[in-house]
Formats: sequence, structure tokens, C-alpha cells
Amino acid sequence: MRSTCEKCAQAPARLITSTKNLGLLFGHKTFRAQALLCRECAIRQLTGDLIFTAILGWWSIVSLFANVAFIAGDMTELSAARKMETPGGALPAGGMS
Amino acid sequence: MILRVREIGDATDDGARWPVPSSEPGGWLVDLEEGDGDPARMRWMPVTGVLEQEVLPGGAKTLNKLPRVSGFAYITDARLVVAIENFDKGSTYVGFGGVGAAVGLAATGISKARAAHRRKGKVLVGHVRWQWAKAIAAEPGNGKTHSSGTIRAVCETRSGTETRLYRLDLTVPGAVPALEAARDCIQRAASWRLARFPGRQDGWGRLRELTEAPMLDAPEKGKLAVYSMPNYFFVSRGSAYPAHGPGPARPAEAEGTG
Repeated sequence: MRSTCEKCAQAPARLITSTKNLGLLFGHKTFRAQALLCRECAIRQLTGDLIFTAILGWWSIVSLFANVAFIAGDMTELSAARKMETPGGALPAGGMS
Repeated sequence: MILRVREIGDATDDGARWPVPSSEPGGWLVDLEEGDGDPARMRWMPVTGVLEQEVLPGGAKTLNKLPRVSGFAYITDARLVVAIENFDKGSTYVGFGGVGAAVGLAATGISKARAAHRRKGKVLVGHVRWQWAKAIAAEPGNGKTHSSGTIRAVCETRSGTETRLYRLDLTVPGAVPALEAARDCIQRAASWRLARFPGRQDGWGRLRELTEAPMLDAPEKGKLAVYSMPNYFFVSRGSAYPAHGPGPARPAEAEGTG
């Protein structure tokens, strides 16, 4: 079973599910993505989706209510991602000589 | 990985990894192979949904999810095959209020028409050859009209040192005896392995038992009853077509060969 990040090949990684919601005045569109990500990539991805949803997710009647659930879901996932171990194999702070 | 959309009449692949859609109307949806055996012995059943997932740390990543389709699954002497024609149905748009409903209805109509155009001459196909099967599992329906059962096949690929574990769930109508179908799968799989891989004698005791595998008890709600193979081959072209009959003995390997 693979266990390295899909974006940066660092380990450990876990399956992250993120959801974006777009309000369209008379309807709304939801984008759901799943990826095997390390802590850093997961935080980056979830933060981006959270900002997208927080700005563009409110602009329909249904989204006024549903967007709360989408934001809560992404925040829960973000909280779980923050508890992940930092990826190993990173370069030391000063870089390598 | 297990499922792929293939064009009818596309002969660029011989069907090692994915079945070849049949170009003859009115028969099987895929071309049969020599190893599939007598069509009269094949078991087939309707499929109302498919779910393909990769198992990863923290959960299962959904690769293909088609909850309401109509297709067929075939259990042959060599493999479990699935073929679905209406795999792309387009999206449904919902709007609220008079204007919203009208916009939603129009968008849905356009989406369905475009989907019909996209899937014309194509079939969603997939198969798990018995040498690739790591496990076969089932959850029975309760026999009622709107209930459904599940048949699951599990297999693994290898690329370098990395392995990937996949599972294919076929949703079948509740009237289909899923546990019986799973038993049929595992019995055929064990017989196939014994007949086609005579040099690989590891796990033969268990394989012989599985040729007479009993029906599993119905699992608790939401769980699956599982048959596990003692070993298996990684999904690849190389392991797709084994030679028939006794061959030269090769060293037995631990689980996951190929």
C-alpha cells in the first residue's frame, strides 16, 4: 500500500478529502477531491479550499445553510491534518553544504 | 486501474488488462477468451452500481463511483468481468425558485444529451482475473425489491517497490444471491490457480480447500463476508495469460508474485 504524498513524495501521508462549494445565485456546485497527502500539502490544500468556500460559497439560497456544513467539514479535516506527523526527509534549516 | 472506458471495435489491446468490448450486437457485452470456458457454465448477473477504490492509509480513495447504472457482471472460469454501457449519465442541476428551476432543467437536459453523445460506441469494462484476486467478499441483499447486495474483488499492483491495493465493488440487486456468487468466484479462482499455475505450489493446500469452499454466513449489516486467497499475482500483462497444464516447476514465492 502506498504511503507517500502524491504531490511531494514525502512520508507519512494519509488520505485527505476536501470539499469546495460554489454558490451560483439559483443553485450551487460542489467540488470534492481526495488525495494522499503529507501534513504540509494537506494543510495547503485544505486552507485553499476553505478560503474558496468562505468567499465564494455563500452566494445562493441553499448555500446560506449548506456552506456552514462544508466549512465545518473542511475545518475538521484541517484539524486532523494538523495532528499528522511532519514529513521526514526534509532538508535541515540551513540547507545542505 | 481496474475499470476503463473502451471503444467498441478498438483492437489496440488484446484484452490482457481490460476486457475487449464485443462488436456483435445482442450477445455478451465483452469478447470471451479461450480460458473463460463454456458459455453455458458462465454465471451472469445484472449490476446496478460500481465502485472502484484504492485503499490508502486513512481510508479508501474513490477512483470511479457509478451508483445508478445498468450493466452486467460475468463470472467465468478465468475471471470476474463487468461491463456497463450507460456509464456516463451527465449531471443533474437543481435550482430554486421559478428561474432557478428553469435554468436547472435546461442545464440538466443539455448535460444528459452531451453525456449520451460521449458514451456512444463505448463501454465501461473491467475484469479481475482469478490469478490476480487477493480476496473475494460479499454482502447479501435481503431479497426485497429495493435492497441491494455487493460483491467485492480485491487485487494489487506493483510498480518498483511500491504496491497499490485496489478494490472493485459491484452492486447487485437484492434478489441476486451475492454470497453464492462469491462462493462461485472463489471456487473457480482456486480451480483456475491449481490448473494454470502448477509450478507455484505454495498455498496449494488452502487452494484445494477453496475449490470446495462452503457458503459463508451472512455478515453483520454493513460488513462483508470474505474469502481470502493464500497468495496472488500482481496485476500485470505478464501474469494475464498463464500457460495451460503442467509446466516446469518454478520456485514458490511468498504472497504477491508476478
